[in-house]
Amino acid sequence: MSSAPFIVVKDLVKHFPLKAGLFSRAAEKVHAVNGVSLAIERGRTHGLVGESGSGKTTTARLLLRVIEPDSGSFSFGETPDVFALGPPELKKLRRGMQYIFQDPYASLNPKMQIRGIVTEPLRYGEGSSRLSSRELDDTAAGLLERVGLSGSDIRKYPHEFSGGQRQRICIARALSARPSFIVCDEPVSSLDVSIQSQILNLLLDIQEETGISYLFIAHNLAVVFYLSDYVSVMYAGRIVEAGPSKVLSSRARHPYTRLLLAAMPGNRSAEGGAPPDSGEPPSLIRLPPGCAFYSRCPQRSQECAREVPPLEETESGHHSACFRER
Amino acid sequence: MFAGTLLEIPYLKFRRNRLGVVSLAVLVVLYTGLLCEGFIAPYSPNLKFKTKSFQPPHRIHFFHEGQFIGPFAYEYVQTNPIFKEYRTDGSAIHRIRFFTEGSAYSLFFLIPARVHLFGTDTGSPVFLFGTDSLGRDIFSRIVYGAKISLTIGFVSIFLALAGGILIGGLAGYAGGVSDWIAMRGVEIIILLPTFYFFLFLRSVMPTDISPARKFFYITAILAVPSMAGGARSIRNWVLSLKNADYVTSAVLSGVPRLVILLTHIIPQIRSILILNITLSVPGAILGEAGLSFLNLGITEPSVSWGMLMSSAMDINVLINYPWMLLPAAVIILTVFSFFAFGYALKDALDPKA
Repeated sequence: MSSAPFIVVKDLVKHFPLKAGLFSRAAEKVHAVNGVSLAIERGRTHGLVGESGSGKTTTARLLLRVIEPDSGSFSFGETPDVFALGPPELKKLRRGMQYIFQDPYASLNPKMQIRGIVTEPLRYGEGSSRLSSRELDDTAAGLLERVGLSGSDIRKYPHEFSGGQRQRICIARALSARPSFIVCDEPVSSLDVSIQSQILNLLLDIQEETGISYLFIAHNLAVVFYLSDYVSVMYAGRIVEAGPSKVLSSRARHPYTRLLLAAMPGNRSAEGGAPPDSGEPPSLIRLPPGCAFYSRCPQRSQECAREVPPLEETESGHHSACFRER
Repeated sequence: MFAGTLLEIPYLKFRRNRLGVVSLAVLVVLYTGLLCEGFIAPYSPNLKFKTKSFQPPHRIHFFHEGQFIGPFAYEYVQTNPIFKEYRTDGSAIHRIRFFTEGSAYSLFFLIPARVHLFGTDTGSPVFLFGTDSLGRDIFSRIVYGAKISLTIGFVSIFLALAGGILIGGLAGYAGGVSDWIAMRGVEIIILLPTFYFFLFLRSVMPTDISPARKFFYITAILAVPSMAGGARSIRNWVLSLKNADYVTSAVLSGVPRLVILLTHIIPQIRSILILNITLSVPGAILGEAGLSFLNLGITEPSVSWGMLMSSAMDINVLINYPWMLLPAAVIILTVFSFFAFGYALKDALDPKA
């Protein structure tokens, strides 16, 4: 470990207060994210997997400060803590960070021309210069060609494109501000399987050319392993296992990761037949005192019910949060 | 997916609705008439024909003593100047001619002109809708009254819309205390009976002001209730759209709030807004008519349809000179056309209809 990685997130916490009724003062909270730490090297991809409700998207939105975190720190390049920035500095910094949404049908304004959509980050935001209509046309056409669409599409509207094409438009938009970090929030999970690989390869090509770092969120392990250098597995708002994707795919230590691996299509026989899973994740309002996976874990012991297992390094770069699998 | 333009299907659907097409045609005629009022009206609205007060509408004939001679009117001679009785003089024929020279006016409010749509060869006046107590041509007065009656609706609705977008949009965005205050204020206005609210606002305004300022005041008064309703519905739309992914990405790109409101949120509800405008205009027209009818709106020497009706308020006039009620027919026609057009538009724009 010579220098600090490009992006370091430490102990990110977000609890959403439940709306209290008129007479109840009970301040119950949804424990969405409970101390997530991760690091991303420049030009690398960090995958984040987990089932619905595990806090992946909340983590991503916290990083871009769409929602404000309760605690934690986030160093980004030269900026020591993004969470400590005031609005003007944040505005300046946001040009460097972009977000690609899961649903390409909801993330493009249906009443706006593609030209306006892809150049929006350029026209507003910090340090934007007034571009002439001509320059905007050229920029938009260039961006579309960059993501494999025709430059003559700039006057069209989103409804004239398919899901995969729309996701390309979203990528073009994200690229327009020349960011150094893009959060991809399940960018392919709503797409046809035949289109998924095209989009993934496009993301890889762009990374190769520009050295962008990705935080790649998905619930599909195959997709995450394909794209990511390093993978973190989330469960109930915590990271339960993290490691290089090659290590994780072959030598997973945490029972939850194994469960996910066993659930991959064509992987039924892995680990000699994984145990059938009939459990549900715990309530995020009343988290259990011990390991969150306790209720579903085939290897649970009494210790697991009492204490939260810490995320510990088991071999170089591979971390796991389990008392049983050391 | 349908590859045509966004408006192609609504257009085809609208064209199938006959009533809608007819009302649109009526509205186009009315608004065109407004633009060339001086051309269509044969006389100035305040020109008094001293010996012709309360003259009934001229009947237009085509045959004189069994012979076709084209459209013409017989002279009506006043026989009783106190009770305003008239008899037809069968020998005095005034043929109706088109594009006759008459009093000077400016076409489209710009070009000086003297040619009127119609007149008589003898120069003696022809009154299609009769005359009022001072002998003024009611047809001409209706044509000139359109200027106020037909614009007041649109102007006040656009005023209401601008205010509604601003109040509702910002309340929906800001949320919290400012939203609460804005919405309670809006609800109070909505709760008040509209017409009494107009009367109240009118009573706190100065009375002896120029006609132009009076027009503006009345417009503003009529805008208040629609502004309240508009603010509430726009606020609801902002609430439902402000968490859309494209709004979030615009926020992340540093787009200012007002620009987000105007480029990302308002365009989604454009068709609803157009609909609301079309269906609110008749309300404003009726509001103006009501105020003017009670002599609280437009007053002499300006002319509006509501004001024209106020002279028909008297039972004696209603019984003896029923043509004085003709402005009401024009108001009904206009309001009906707006509603029919509005509902046709609604069906055309509704993808599920």
